[in-house]
Amino acid sequence: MKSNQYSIKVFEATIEDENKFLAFIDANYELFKHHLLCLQGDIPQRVQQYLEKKSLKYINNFDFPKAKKIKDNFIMPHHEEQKCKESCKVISEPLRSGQYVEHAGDVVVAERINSGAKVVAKGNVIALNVVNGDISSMGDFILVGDTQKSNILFHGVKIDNTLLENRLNKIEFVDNEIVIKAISKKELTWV
Amino acid sequence: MGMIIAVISGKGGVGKTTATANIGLGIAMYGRKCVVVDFDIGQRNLDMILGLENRVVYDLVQVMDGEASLKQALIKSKSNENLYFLAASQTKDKSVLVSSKIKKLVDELSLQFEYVILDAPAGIESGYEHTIEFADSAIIIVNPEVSSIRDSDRAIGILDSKSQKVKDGEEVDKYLIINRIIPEMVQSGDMLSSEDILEILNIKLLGKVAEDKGVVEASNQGTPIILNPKSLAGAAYKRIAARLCGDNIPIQEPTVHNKGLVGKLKGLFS
Ligand SMILES: Nc1ncnc2c1ncn2[C@@H]1O[C@H](COP(=O)(O)OP(=O)(O)OP(=O)(O)O)[C@@H](O)[C@H]1O
Ligand SMILES: [Mg+2]
Repeated sequence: MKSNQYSIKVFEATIEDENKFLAFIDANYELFKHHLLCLQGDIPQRVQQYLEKKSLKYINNFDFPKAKKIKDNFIMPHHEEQKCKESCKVISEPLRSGQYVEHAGDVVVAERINSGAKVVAKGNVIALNVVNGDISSMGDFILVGDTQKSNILFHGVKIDNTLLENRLNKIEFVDNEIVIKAISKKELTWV
Repeated sequence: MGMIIAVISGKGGVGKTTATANIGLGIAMYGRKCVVVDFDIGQRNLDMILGLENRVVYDLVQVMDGEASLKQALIKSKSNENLYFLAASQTKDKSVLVSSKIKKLVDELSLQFEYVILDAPAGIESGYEHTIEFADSAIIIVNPEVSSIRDSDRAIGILDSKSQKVKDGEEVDKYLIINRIIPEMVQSGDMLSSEDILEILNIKLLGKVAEDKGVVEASNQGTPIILNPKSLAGAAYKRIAARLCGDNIPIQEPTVHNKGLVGKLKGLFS
């Protein structure tokens, strides 16, 4: 006889709230990739589809020999965290010519905004890399570096590029006037 | 399964077809089986650059429509037996292209060839989108000028959102060729440097090709410049083909042409 013996981690759960369950699995996906999920009770169709799409292995209503219980460091998805995710969009790819990002909240762009690309935000815009494209913000501020070729609108007002020198700039309202301030590196760490 | 490579640029006239012909021939000379396909429906000219215009009987649209077999339509290059060519239709326009038929064609080609190189039409319209649809990777050709770079940037953005591989959650490999570099102008600061271009486009560099008067003549004669051992552009395409075949050859900077003593003397008397 040829045989193999494995010990696997089983995660047992009963689904009460579909959304909370999905958020939980999503937040811990990296861990669950290597688990077998044992779901007791009914599995809603959406959950089934999600598990299948993510190729997570699961069994339903299965009574297995109970072994030692272990504690894992699962992340409980936080309510506020999700709210923040919704209001702040982070872009980590370069924005290329013709690409258009519109968002109701804040937008953080970590890579370049190339000539011909456009970011339109109801909230703040933070552009950490070179900007040669267009930015429009209706938020409290725009944070942007040296950008001679860009086209920046703050609350519909075109910002004069010559005022954006070789440094990091914060464009904001002070007493109903648009003010451009140089930002030091120190301040940035907590922005 | 062979690799499907789309040669794209956004802007027209920057050297896609020239690159396709030379890279295809270079890969064949390297000993790999390669097919170059003209996807510029209605404006074909890869056949001329390869010197094969009088050999075209069937085109890719006829193959896709089942009017001809692939075997009938594939034309063997006269300079290398590893290279084959599939012509574009000259009488139809690009609206005849259908995704399912393209998929079938490129799948069939990738079973027979190690490299399937698709020469895209200029622009970013449907003909372009169909060329990149089933590509594994793309070679982006730019000239060192702002309009070419911006148009390529746009084409890359479309590549990264519309190709099937990206829709399946994978990445399309992207390689840059900077074509028609004039070293004197780069040196004097009148032409964008390769570093500037790479910073904007943010993709891997595959090669640098100098401006070379021999290219036009080579195209007119239907003998790709890579066959000319004296040409700088030809040598650059040879290195590019070798890199695509997995050779680790360092990028060579096109250098300022240094007039020798004879040249200087000639200059004095002319
Ligand atoms: N390195 C080079 N040096 C000099 N001339 C070149 C070079 N590369 C290409 N050319 C010339 O540029 C012109 C355009 O080249 P080609 O037809 O390959 O461009 P293309 O991008 O395929 O154009 P289209 O978008 O119209 O299909 C041709 O006349 C060609 O000979
Ligand atoms: Mg062409």
